[in-house]
Amino acid sequence: MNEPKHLSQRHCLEMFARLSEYVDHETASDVERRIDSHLAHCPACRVCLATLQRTIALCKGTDVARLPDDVAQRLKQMAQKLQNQAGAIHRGG
Amino acid sequence: MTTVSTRPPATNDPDHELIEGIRNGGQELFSDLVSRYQRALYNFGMKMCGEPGDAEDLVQETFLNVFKYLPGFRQETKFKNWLYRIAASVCIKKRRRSKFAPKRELSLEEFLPADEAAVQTQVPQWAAMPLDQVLNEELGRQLKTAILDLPEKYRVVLVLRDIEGFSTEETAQILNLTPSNVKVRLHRARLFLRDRLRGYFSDE
Ligand SMILES: [Zn+2]
Repeated sequence: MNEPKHLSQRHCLEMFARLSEYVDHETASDVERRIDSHLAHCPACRVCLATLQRTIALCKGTDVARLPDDVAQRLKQMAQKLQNQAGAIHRGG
Repeated sequence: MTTVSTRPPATNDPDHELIEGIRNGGQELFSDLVSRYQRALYNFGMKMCGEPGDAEDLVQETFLNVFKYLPGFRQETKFKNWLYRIAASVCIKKRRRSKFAPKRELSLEEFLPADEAAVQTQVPQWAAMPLDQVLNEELGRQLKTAILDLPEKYRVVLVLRDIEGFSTEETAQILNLTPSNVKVRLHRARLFLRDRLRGYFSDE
């Protein structure tokens, strides 16, 4: 395989596979320590981490779709219709 | 791949009272439940389908199912998780009939740098600048499109985790996957989006 130098290193590859887990603090503590020390001296993996973190932050920052008033209105009607049906069944025994 | 464990009832569920009220004959409370979750579900629908009409259908169908199955809901999970479980399955059923859900596996390898020259050693501008200077309307649109381009099984995990804010455990429960499966899909989805963002910013 002709892999780039930095990714041919075992640690860079391990890092790459676990980056999301690491960002989410879901790695075992020994793995986390190993990744920490790798990051301290691997600029390529630091870039990888920074761009991944930014991607996640941008996803979290996407705006929430606004519920249109007419949709809200139709949902309200639907809910009322369901309630009434159920109420009728109840009353009818 | 069932991971649903036997859990004690979710007594800390903020919806517990409302749900009990509805189940004990308070049907008129159902519209409270709808108004409590309609915004969140509509947003979920928009992120998953991209079309207002489809998002509305998703919300409608989800609530119809909630109404129908609520008597059988055994509060072993939070109501919200159960709700999203229904929404996700409604959504997946819909998309199966649709032509543009690209069905493919994403592999880790496809996101590795192609060659040595592609290995970056400096954090690019878009990842270094303050977040509010990067996020604008145009980028928001690009990102939404990129999310819609994700194969569905990755998209649903990304939307639940990074947009709706569910934990790995909860997402696993909602989608009936193992937590490690959720992690794998999430990571690939994020890498897919990262590549799209990189592409977008390299054109600038
Ligand atoms: Zn490295």
